[in-house]
Amino acid sequence: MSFLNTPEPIDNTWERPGERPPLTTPEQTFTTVTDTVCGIVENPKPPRAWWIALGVSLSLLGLFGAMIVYLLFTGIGVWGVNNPVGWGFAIVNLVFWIGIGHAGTLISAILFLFRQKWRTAVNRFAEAMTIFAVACAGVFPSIHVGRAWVLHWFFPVPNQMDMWPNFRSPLLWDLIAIATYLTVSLMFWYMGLIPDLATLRDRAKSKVRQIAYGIPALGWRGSNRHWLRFERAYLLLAGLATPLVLSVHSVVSFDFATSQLPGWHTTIFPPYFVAGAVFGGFAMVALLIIPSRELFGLKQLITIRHIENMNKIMLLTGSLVGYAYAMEFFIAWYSGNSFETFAFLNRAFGPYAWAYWIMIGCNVIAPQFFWSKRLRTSPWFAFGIVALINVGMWFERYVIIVTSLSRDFLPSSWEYYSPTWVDGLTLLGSFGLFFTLFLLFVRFLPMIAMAEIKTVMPAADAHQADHKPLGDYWGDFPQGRAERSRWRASVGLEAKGDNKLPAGSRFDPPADQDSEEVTS
Amino acid sequence: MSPLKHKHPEGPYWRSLGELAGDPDLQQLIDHGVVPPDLGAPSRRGFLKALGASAALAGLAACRWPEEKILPYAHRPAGQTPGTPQHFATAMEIDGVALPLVATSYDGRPIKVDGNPAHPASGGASTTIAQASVLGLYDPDRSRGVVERDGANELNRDWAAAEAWLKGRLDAHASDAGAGMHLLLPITSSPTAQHLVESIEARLPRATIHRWSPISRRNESLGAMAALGQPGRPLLDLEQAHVVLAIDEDLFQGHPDAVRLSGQWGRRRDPDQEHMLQLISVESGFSLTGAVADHRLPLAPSRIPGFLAAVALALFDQHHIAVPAGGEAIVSKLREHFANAQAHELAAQAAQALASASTHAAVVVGPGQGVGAHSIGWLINSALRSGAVKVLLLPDEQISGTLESLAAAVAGGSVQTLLVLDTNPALDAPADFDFAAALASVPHSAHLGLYRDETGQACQWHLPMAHYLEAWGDSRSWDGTLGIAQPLIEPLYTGRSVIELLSFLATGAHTPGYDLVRGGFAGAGVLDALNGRTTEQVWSQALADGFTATHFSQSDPPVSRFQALTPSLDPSGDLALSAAPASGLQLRFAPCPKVLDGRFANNAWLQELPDPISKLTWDNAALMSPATALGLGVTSGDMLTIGVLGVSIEIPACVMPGIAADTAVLPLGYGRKAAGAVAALAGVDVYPLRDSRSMWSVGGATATKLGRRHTLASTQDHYGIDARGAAEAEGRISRLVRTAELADYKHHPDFAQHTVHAPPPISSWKEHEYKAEAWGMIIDLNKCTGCGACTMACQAENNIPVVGKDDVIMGREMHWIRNDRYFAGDVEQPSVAFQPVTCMHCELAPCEQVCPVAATQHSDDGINTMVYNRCVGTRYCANNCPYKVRRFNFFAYTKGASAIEQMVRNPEVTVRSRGVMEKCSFCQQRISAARIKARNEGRELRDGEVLPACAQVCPAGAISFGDYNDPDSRVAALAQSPRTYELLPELNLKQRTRYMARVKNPIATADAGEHDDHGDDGHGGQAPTTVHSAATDELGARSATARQQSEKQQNSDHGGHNQ
Repeated sequence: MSFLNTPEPIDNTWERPGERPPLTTPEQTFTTVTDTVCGIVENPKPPRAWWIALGVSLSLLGLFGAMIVYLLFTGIGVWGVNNPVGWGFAIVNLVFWIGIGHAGTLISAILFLFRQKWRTAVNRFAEAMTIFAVACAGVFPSIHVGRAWVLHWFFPVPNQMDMWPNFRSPLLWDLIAIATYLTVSLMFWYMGLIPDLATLRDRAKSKVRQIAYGIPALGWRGSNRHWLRFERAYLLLAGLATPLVLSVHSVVSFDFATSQLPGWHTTIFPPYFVAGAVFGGFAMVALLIIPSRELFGLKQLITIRHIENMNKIMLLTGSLVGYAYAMEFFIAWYSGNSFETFAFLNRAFGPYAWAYWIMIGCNVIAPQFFWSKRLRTSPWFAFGIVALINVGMWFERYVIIVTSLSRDFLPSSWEYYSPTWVDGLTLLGSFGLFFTLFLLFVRFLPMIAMAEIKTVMPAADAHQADHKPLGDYWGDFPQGRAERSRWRASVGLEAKGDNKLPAGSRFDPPADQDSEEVTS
Repeated sequence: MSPLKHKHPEGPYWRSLGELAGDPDLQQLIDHGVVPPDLGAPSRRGFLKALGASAALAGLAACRWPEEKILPYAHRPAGQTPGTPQHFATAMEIDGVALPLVATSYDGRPIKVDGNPAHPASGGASTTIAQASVLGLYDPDRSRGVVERDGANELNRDWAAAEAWLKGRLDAHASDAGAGMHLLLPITSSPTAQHLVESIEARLPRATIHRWSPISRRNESLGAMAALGQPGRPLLDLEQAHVVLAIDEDLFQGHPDAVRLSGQWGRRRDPDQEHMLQLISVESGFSLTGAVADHRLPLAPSRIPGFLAAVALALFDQHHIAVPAGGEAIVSKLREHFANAQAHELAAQAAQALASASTHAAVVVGPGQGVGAHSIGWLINSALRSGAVKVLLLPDEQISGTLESLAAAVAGGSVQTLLVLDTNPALDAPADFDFAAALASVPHSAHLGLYRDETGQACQWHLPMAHYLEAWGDSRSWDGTLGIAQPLIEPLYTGRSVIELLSFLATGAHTPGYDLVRGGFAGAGVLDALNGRTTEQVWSQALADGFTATHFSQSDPPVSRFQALTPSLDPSGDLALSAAPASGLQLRFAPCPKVLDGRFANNAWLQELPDPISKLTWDNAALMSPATALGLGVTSGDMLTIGVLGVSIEIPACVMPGIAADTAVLPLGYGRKAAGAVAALAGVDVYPLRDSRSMWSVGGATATKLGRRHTLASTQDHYGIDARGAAEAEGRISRLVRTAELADYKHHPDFAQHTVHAPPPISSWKEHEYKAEAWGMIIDLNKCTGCGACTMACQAENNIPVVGKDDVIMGREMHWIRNDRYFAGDVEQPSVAFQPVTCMHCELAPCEQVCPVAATQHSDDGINTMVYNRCVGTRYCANNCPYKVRRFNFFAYTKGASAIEQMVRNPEVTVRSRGVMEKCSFCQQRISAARIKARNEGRELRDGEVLPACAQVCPAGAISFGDYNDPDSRVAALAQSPRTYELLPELNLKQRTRYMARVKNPIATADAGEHDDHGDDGHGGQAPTTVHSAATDELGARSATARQQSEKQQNSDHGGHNQ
């Protein structure tokens, strides 16, 4: 798999005040971006790795289906849940997948509002992941109920009992929050796709593709008026989606926080869950994007800086989560509530200590490696860390849900929970659903927001040199080899060999490589 | 059929209205004993069906009678309203002792039995076994017809063929007057049976009648014989007792009179009365009596007689109680053998307590003790002139043969014909008799039994026996009252009763049970006192009441008969273990509180009921203390080989605090090979270790770890908990089960109110108001003996399914009321706390808050109700319940039950489907029934009119139920008691189920006056969860005491007790 280790075409990770590093390699033009991104979708023969991945994913999806059918025909008892531990893997998976679904909208909406231009390379990816994760998440509450065939009683719609659902129940809030989040995320994602779908339509060579991309492109012509409306709507949706990023996992946390179970009944849950969700969501984005940029040759668009920025966010949110873990302990002690105190001591030192310390190791300790620039700018090292973070975030939910339930107020009811093989295969199968959707996405839709990334390229600002000092704009990149060389001298890159870019670094490729970077 | 109120001495008996209406399937069943397919013959998946038998399914048309056939009643039988339950008095006899019952019958099928409230031996309460017996009636594994075994062939026969064979045997023995004919009967107190046996003896004078029960109280009556010169049984009257010393005796579960004794216990455990009963228990295993005793000392079987002797000597020597006339010989023997024995400290304390209580003291000795120990018990009671123990002089009927004599006869080859009636010696005979092999050598043998069990398969003929709810019978309760057992249903599987078979042997013709009982009744001396009434009137009255007030004569312990004592007071004789030296591991065989000697092993309700102390279900195990287990290097679940006298079995170990050191307790009755699908799953047969010289305990056993493990299905973690969890659990017990000692209680009656101080709870919204009834339950923990009858009654009343061993291991048992058992203190001598936990029906219920589909709601009278058909099964309510009383149907536990099995279900209670949450409803169906009745009569509900099944069955009267809004109700009064508290009050749930704190009554010692004065602090309610030391450390203090005792005991044990 030598293709998985191509050299980084650019090192744009330096930090200097007054200067914005570029977000694409210098030779990228609007055309190359379009060709690169559309080329993946238009390629008649996807890479062999894609087929292999799809085969595995579909098998897992089949497994998922089989497990669900078995469950529905047999009963919840095929899982490991028992009397004190009424919620097991299903709810752990629900919260895990919902958490994964956080990064997309955060990148799309919040980073958009904060004018974080680097988001453009990863937002499509992340939004797609959000929707697929929420789809996975949606499966679990539906199948975890004892009588899935009357699930519609959850919804505030007319039913034969002529009854409203119970609006006091956090599960209902949950349903509404997740449904809202899914709707807005889906809208946001689709709207951002429209210009790119139009591009694909316009480039399509077969009737089928023209129709298939033409209908969802909604007649986009790229007129000024279209763009005006588009950008305004995008801004509004971003404004609408931003509170949802915070609300959905806050509401999910209410499932636990509003109960009175020691270990669940905690006011810190909403911010802690949101931080954890962003943490886990970014970890999943990174987990997918690092191999994808290798596999589809997108390193010139998704640069090492993108990876680094995400790693920084993970360092921040991971530390927030670590703080929350510590604060839970503090409050458990400070409250003087012996049930709470025991709940947390039991988590760390009881029969589930192994899960707790996996969680601490993966969520709190692992991201601390990102303090080192060398490590956080090394994609495959980061890949390992984010894989651990995904494991850790799953275990966080496991620890919260299972340890609290297994030992609550009356010691007589304490019971150990162990998952069954059905639990394990269902979790595995849910990855099949996620990756199947994801692989179809990367095959049939532009995985990078072409229209958006073009806005952060130097070409988008033809008059930059006239109005702004050099480096004041994301993507400043003098065109042409001679100019670039002058620019590099002016910013001292060539003068100072001891800069963060030592001589011969990848930023300074041999002249003959310039043309190869685009065409992998 | 005689309803309680209407007296119809005769009438048609039917199994269902379908039969009355001539349903052809049922007719086939009646005529030929053939179960038509749609009545559900057990398939290979019999286990699943057995599980199904424990719950009801009202939705299927086949579950009940075909409804369209109800209508053809041209003349409705008097007293019959379809769909209205009827109640009939009957009785269940176990080993010669009757438990008077009232059975509830819906349209011809009995679905529930309860104690007979009018009978002194019950008072309305009953036992776990009685409650579960209804399930046994509908057991699909019961024997369904006559079977003849001819070599390897098994032929289905009918009763005509069986009668022909029996007649043939009778004719064959006519020439030799019955020589070579032997009958093995169960122990029974039925006058009819006695009368028939006499007839048989008259007809075949040389025939021999033997009686057998593996758990008989033979030693007790032999002890009375030895001490008093006459067979008798002790009648303990706890109402008269201030101090009771129980020697290896479980008054509240193993004892035949446990229901009455538990009721007296409940009445005598009110700490506000002048002399609250004080109970001291010395035992090898862990019984309920030990669990609730104020002092408990675990002693290996070989050491118990020494303890009793020490108490006796202390009484006579230190407390100068006069030795009763005739008893000097015993006392001098005791002095001779035990003078040098260093007694345990508790022996001295017990002697002091007994001496000071004098005529209000009593000593009771268990059936597992030898004749000598029983003699000493009588001696002490006589010496104290105890008013609390009387003797019930039994008629001299113990002269008949025993199993031992039968075994000898078989070995001698003199047995030509053997009829085994309602006993199972192939399973439970002492191992040295090798009865299964002996049976094979008998030329002609037949077995009558509920199941074609081990004996049934070994005999040539097997005849199905009628269940007690299918047959007429009579028997005496422990106090000698004669009761009548009337059938509630025609035999489902063509069974006949023991008396019917005896009558066939006596007369050579079949006589219906009714005629026999009626005749036996006439002959039982009942009619001596007609008081001007006709026989018919007396009979009708007795039938409606279920009993007649005739007793055997009772007397105080005679003080002048001790010269008749047998000279067997040698420590190497009856006082000690007879078979082996008191070295190595000692084994104590114990009847299982659930399956007894194995006869109820196929009852899924009983199998799934947790053992009161070990909390084991579906299994037996070698119970041993942590120290013993440590010595053997085993933990719970490790398989052991236990060997004694050259025989060995493999059995899992179960580590249980409080078992005597170097002792393993082996519950009898498991590992059944031929008892049905349910029993086949459960446990290990320990009978092979039990021989005639060591029926109850044996020493010198060896135990070796096998290296395999076995998963024990326990409903509560017992020492499988890590140290941190165990410490936390122990720390919480004092908050959950609030306990004080009597002296402290007198000083601080409101200790329970100050065990936990939380900030005053404030509701942030307007709460419900309950203007109608406010139903509530108060459970007095000072009375609860932990017997588990509430769990079983609830299961029978509410169609609660059985989940099976695997799901119990997963933690999915369904009981709506469970009895939490907590150990505290030293693991070798722990104190035990029981706490029945059911739905608290919180006014601010956390479960209701979180249900998204509003399937759990509050009713106007404040009951937290489950609307099953609205439940989606999120299980959120169970997660949010602090008491974990909600139960989820993880599988379709009720599906697949056959029509016969479904007959046990209560039509008043919905049968729950898969995926639905369920829980205690305070027996809402009973509340509704009572309310409808009251409305029809135009009056308010009366206090006590509504009794949930748990409150009704509770033998100790620990559960009170009523309306808190009624100021005159019992619960309203109890709620005012300073002992009444809420569980987890800091959660502000306003629980409707409340508890009354325990008050222990330990023997007053010199330093008993010390207790820190904490009456004036902490009343501000400001300090969050302040735990008062004196009240809550009681268990801890006890444990410290126990630890000291343990050390002292070890010293004494090393001090040469074993000479």
